[in-house]
Amino acid sequence: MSAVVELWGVKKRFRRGQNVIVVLDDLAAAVQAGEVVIVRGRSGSGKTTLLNILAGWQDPDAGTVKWGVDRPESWDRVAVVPQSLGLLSELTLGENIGLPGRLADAEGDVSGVAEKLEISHLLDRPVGGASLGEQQRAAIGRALIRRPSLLLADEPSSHQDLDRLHLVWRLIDEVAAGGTGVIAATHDPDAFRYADRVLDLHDGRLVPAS
Amino acid sequence: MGTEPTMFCEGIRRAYRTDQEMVWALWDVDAVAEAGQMTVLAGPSGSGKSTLLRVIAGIDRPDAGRVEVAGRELTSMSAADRRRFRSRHMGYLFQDPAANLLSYLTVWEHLVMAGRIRRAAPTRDLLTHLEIEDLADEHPARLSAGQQQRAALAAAMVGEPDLILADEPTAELDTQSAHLAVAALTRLRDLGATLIVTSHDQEVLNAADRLLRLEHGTVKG
Repeated sequence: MSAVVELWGVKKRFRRGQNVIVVLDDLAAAVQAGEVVIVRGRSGSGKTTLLNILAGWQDPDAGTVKWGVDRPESWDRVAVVPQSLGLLSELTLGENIGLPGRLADAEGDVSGVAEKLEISHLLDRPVGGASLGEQQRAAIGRALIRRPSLLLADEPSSHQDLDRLHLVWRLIDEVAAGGTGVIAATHDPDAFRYADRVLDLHDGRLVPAS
Repeated sequence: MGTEPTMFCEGIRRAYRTDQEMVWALWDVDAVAEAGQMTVLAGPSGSGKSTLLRVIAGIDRPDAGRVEVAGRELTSMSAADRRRFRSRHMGYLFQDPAANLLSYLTVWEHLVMAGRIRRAAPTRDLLTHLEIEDLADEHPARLSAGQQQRAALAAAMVGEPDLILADEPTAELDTQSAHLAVAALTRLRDLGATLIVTSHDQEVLNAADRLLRLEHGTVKG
């Protein structure tokens, strides 16, 4: 197995008024192809900052991030499910799922992904015409449409009922079996069984969950 | 013979309802925005200027009155039709610079997406005009608030929509960034855009071709 992403000595600080908040402190981690890693952490513990750095959207103040792929600029390398979902309200759910393909002038199997996420019947609907759970599954479909090397997911099942939570995580598991490395932030214990490792983000470092 | 204004509205009334009362945020407001001009809706906080902007954008429907943009009457459209019309014919900027951008798209990808929605091809010139050409491949998290605002303006301009609406575009920026944002707005106006901007920032007011002052939901001049 090869690492899809490795971090060494990653530090990130923010200034808040007079105070300096250390969010990530000498953090080290590696995720292998095909591995599902779940990160837990309290609100404000730095999970989103960590995911932003892993996505290449933010630079650490110190340390190194090395992707097993080129810079993670395209969705076939690194794909993200943001907690805010970030669907475009001007587009239908189907068009949102197909967005990474359209940006890259590449084809994507929108209907195949939608079927797995049980939203095939909603592809022509505007975003506002779908429930939050359905929108979240569309955001997951958008992230998977180009079969990324690394999937970063911020609370990907937070709007799902229990059946759909397992549907989402079974799909993440299936994608990992195909070679994608997965890092997901979640608090949901029902999701933990799908993880190869569960880590806690505590005092700016990743440690095995207790 | 003069040309039709890009936007006109008349008799606009808009109420906010609470459990106890109904508050009129706008009362019989008439307004016009001429093509190629920057119209600024000015007034103190709570004067109704942002409410008016949302009504003009078709985000909210007024309780009375009519709004016409580019020859189309918005107030009789369904919410879905208004949304479709807005995405094709208008660019809209929220006050919070980060709210206008998607974290997972680069600056250039925002322009490409705006182009797909408005069926137009974006050009890098837009980024050059707004002095953010070096940031084309960056994600929003790497940009300052001022750079985010200019990136959102560039995306709003793709396809030369009939109207660009900006709600307090300098409110969350430092002085230097606000100065650059005003320069960006006037640059878009000089490129032919029709803008309606809410603000109480004197620098924005100074850049206006037409000023509409609101107070307690009515036009004061």
